[in-house]
Amino acid sequence: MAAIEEVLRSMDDGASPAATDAADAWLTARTVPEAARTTMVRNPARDTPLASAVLADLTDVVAVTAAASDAVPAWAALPGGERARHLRALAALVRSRGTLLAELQTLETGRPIRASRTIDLPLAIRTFEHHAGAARLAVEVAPARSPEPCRWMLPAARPLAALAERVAPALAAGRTALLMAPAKAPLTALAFAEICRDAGLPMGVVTVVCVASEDDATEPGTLFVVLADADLDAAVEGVAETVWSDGTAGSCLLVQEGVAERFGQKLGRRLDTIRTGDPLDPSTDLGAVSTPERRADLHQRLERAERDGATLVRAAAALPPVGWFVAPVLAMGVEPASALFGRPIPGPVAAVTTFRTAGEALALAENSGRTRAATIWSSGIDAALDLATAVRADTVSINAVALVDPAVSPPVVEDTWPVRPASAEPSAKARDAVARGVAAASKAGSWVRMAAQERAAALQGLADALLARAAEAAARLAAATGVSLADATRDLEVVAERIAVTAALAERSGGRVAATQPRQIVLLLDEPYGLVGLTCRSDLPLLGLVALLMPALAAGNRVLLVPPRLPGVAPGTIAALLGLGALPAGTVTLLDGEPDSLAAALAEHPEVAAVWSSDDTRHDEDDLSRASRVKVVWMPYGV
Amino acid sequence: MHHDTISRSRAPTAVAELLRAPLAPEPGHRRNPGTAFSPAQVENRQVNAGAVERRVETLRVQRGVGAAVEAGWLVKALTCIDLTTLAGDDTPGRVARLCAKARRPLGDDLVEALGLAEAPRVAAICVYPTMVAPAVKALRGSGIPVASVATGFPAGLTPLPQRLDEIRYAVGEGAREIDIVITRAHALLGEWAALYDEVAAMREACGDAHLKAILATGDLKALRTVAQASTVAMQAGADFIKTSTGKEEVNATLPVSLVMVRALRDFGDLTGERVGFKPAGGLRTAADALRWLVLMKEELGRAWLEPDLFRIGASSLLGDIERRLADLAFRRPSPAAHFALA
Repeated sequence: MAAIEEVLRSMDDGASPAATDAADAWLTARTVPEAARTTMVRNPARDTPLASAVLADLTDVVAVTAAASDAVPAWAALPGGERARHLRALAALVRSRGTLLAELQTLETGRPIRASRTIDLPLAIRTFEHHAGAARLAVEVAPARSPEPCRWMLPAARPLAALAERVAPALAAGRTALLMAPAKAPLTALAFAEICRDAGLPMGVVTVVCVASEDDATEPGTLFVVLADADLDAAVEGVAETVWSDGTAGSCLLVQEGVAERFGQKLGRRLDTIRTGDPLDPSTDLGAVSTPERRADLHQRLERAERDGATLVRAAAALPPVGWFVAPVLAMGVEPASALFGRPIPGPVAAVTTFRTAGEALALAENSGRTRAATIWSSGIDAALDLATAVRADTVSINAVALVDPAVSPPVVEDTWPVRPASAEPSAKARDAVARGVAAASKAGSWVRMAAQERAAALQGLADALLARAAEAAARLAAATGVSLADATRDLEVVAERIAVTAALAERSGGRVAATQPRQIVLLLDEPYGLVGLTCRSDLPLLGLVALLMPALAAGNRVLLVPPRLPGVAPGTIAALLGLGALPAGTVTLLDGEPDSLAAALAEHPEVAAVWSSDDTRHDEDDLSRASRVKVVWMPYGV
Repeated sequence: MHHDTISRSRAPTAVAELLRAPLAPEPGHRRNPGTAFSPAQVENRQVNAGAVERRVETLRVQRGVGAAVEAGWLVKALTCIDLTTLAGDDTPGRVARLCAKARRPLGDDLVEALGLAEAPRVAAICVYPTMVAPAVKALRGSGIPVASVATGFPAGLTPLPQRLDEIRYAVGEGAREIDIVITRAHALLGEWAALYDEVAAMREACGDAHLKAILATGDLKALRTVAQASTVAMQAGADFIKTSTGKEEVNATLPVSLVMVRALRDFGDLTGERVGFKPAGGLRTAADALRWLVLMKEELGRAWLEPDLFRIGASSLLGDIERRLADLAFRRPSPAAHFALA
């Protein structure tokens, strides 16, 4: 017992570092086979070596990919209940070896043990359990369009949650998983691979290899919008829980001008209670999550920002002398021209920029760069929902942060490896064509702002018009393509029917609601991507084109279309045939030129939100889910 | 005020200090003199209930009290207790027994085993007005003050003149602290001016005695109402704001306490005055006491871990703290008879 009089005086809370018995035992027992290439994993909190791991090269990855592909048919053929049983077994083993996984994650990433144990581990378990349920409910397994395994490059931060959110949905859907763990932090994933083996998962269903990797690019941090009627103390806690705990990315805080000074005062005070230090100390908030490069980059940006007029507030407490730590920072008076605005910040910096009106906040949000997650702080439901629906982000939460639920999170998009496949350089002509197309499409604001019913009516109008002039259209089609008039007429009827079906679907879109947690409503809103590019195979029949184009339009997208080259049919004719001219100007813009070059130019253009090719989209779906993206809006409530 | 003006006219570190505005501990802060009634300060209070509950949860997970220092923290909690009896069957004899416990809450062998320099005492005794005189008598020479409830405790639904007379009576009997109850209707109906006037009148009736304003949070229910009532009570000159009477269905909870200490902190930022906080009812175990101490430390700072700014209204809590201290000191269970009855 510490001298009690000293305790009474200081009221120090006596936190002390946790032991890492499970990880130590695992690391000691581990044998790394002799191999040509190995990497040394370091402990970032002490900058000391932790363990070595075998590095896979391209040949190895090709080999394991083949093995993972071989495992697909048997895995996909299993009844859903069987896959569910496997996923539950994984969940159970992750739970029983949870201490090991949490300790490994903290040792190799510098993330605080409290976060690994109380946030990441329960989330990983829940993710496997949730997707076990999903597997059980699958009525039939959609035959894997690609017999290849799902492949991901695991991020170096938070590997435990990352591997769960990738592997679980893939396995539930009958696909196999290949995880490429970064050389910097592969141990958690390797321990997970052992869990898969010990849980009796068939060989090849989950594979983990350690590969050399670049440092993760800094992801954008959560965007905060704080209105004058916000609970400021709550918003401060939101900052503490994200920017100053996770520590890997800074946040842009847009604050209403009238409350900015007060908010800054509260943030400054809260900054001094953030504990930065030994990740194994259970009371540590911010661990050793930086790297030499990030630290240098961050200091440079902070210096420049300060010279340009921002006020920096730093926590008073000293950092440990060794290890990759960065102290949390508050930056006030950050303007859009500042070095701290517009690009992701590689460290725990909360950068405050003021706004006057909600409209201005949205403009600043747009200007601050790509946002994944945004959080809106306001006590008024109108203001909060207005901003939440308008701000461009994948996930928005109102008066809360860091809400995660595997029932609601979409599956993580796969990576390709090596990361950048060589793509064709677009020609200057193609770039010009796309630029002109984008300019034309920018005039189509009305299509985007239309209510779903109006879009449905417009599309139904197209179908009706097509049927009305079916005879004439069939004649032209027959003449151009050489099919019989009867066949051409029937084809057009089918096409008109397809358009009408899509029109009906347009009215039914909108989204869905999840209310699986107490006192929380989650809106999953369908949003158009915006401007999308659509490239068609040269021999794609008219029906195929319609099956791709119409859902995109019904979902509210504007389309830059590289039309199929139907023999004998000029691109303009296709547009006339379908009556696309009846749609508002700029809704569909045809691009003329060499398809591959145009596709590359579309992929390159920053205003084109998505590019689809007729090769990889299905033609017969009865929903618009592929044509829209989902914005998740979290709305906790209570008095 | 524009940020570019701030940064050009003052050195960055000075501004940083201004922004941080720390609440540094001072010995013997002055009494809250109150302010004029300011409805704007009340209206603009915003409280998000979900965020409050989340903060309570993160505090529980993020900040604990290590085993090595637990005994010290529990002794500190003990010194902040207002040892209370508010029962219909209170008698001078019963009160005398409680006061004896207040003077010597821990047995000598426990004090020695803990390594304490001197035996600790509770912060005050809290009783009904007609029990003040017996309590004063029983505590003579101890320096422990007697606090009295007043103003029609617990419901507070008697006419104001009688409620003020009750305060004057209790003070006359020797009470140095008065725990008043507010008229909940004023808070529930948003009659903030009326609430201000009532508490201000009670403060005046107290004279030199300190006033603790019981908000009866179990009756107010909505967290925003609690924040607003706290603000009015402080404007009116309360020395302490107190959660509940102990007689409500739900008494002190961590969410309600968080809301009140934040209101208290904001009042301090605005006026420079320090107001104390007292949770009452609902703290039964040693673990509860620790949770509240953690809340005070994280949200307000070290200064609020002393009896001049933090009190716990409790009766059975003392016994649980005593048992836990004995477990820590002696490392084996003690028989019940080992602990003097309160």
